[in-house]
Amino acid sequence: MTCSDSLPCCTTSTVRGQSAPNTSEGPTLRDRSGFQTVGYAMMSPVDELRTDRPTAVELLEIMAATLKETVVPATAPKAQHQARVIANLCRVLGRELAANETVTVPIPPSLRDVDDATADAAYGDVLELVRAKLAVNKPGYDAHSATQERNIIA
Amino acid sequence: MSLISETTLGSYLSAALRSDVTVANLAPVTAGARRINILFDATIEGTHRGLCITQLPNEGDAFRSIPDEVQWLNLARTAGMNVAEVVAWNEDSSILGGPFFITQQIHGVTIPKHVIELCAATPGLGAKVAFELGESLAKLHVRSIDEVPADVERPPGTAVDAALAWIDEGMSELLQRSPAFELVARWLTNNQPSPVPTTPIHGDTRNGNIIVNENGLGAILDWETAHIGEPFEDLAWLAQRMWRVRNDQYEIGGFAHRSDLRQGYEAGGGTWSDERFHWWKVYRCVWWGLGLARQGRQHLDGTFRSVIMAASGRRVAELEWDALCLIETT
Repeated sequence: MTCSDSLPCCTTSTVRGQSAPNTSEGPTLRDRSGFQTVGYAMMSPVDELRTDRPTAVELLEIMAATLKETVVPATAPKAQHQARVIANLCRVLGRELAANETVTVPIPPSLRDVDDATADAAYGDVLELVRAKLAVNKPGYDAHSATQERNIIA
Repeated sequence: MSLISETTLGSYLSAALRSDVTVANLAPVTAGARRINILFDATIEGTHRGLCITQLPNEGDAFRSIPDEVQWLNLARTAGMNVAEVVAWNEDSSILGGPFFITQQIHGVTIPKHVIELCAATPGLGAKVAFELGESLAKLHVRSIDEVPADVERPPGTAVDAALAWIDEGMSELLQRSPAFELVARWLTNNQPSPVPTTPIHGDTRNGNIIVNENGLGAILDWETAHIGEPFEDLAWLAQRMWRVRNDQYEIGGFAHRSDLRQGYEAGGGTWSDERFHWWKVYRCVWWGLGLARQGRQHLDGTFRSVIMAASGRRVAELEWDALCLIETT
């Protein structure tokens, strides 16, 4: 379904899990356009209405915080480690859901037995691919680069 | 289920040491994911002694049998390494609920972050610990593989051959391809060091498997994965980023420089090679990355379902990054 730009409902579209919708706009829009509730639902971007707030990202945030602040201190040591890992996984998933950037790098079918020129050409792309995974799994890990590792060895 | 108590432990030690032994102050310690480690105070014929019991609650979980591990510990001690003295051991699960060995208790810290903090707070300590690690490992590496427990595998080829075969196996098991590890495996194949004789090696020497106190290296722990291999597999494992706990300005365990380790290694009778060190550092990096991928797969295929194993799958990228950085430094 597409909406005409002239219809105010389309101006409320939000990026899922990122900006908070303006809750005051729903009734206002309906009043201005004269739609019934059902009409408003039909004309709004479908993704926005498919789930209720809090969004997945918002839920994962509070799940991670609750595990860290409430569950971990009240748990036996062995389960504490697991609770910390689960809290971290919630943060990983939150970042994964919020990431809307698609990484498309052309990588040859296998890099195991290629010639030097192919390997050298692919190196930068592969590094970017790994960097994109780290942005979700462990932000900041790539701050320590090849140059820094070389410097501490010297 | 473990049957360790002050009473059972006291009875066992009285019989094993043929002395009057009483036990008090059992204190479980966090180190070791599968094993039980409990510190305790023993009074042997009126003399107090701090001891530590290490127990495998489930025999099926053991990488190696208790007699084998005790034999490695005794070999290490004979070689003059910093290891704890074995006081007693027994495989009979009816005694304390699982096979176990008991060693002297060594004062110090084992948690990597605490080791780094202690070294940071004590001038010269980090360098001393690395020196002693190098010295200790050299003393093991100069020993003959004939002294290694008889049922430990003797790899037919060189350690490098065995390492590359392991990489092939790990790569073939990946649930999704890793272009990063493909590049690194290619590098390892193209940059193999020349063959050298194999020696006994510890296999898991790192910040996390050592006891450190204000005097230096207390002991090298956990001989579960000791095997026959190449010395630099031990030395380069100490230099991986994950043991540094973000303290990346120090290559060795987050507390010392490579030169400290090297000086100790040479003082202990070992021969240093930066080229071999680098190759094994790259190898152990991808080895651990493939190990983490395997843990993730074992969760997914039901071999070992656990949130910890599942989370390991999401840590592979860290090792991909480290390995790519390492091959770029050459």
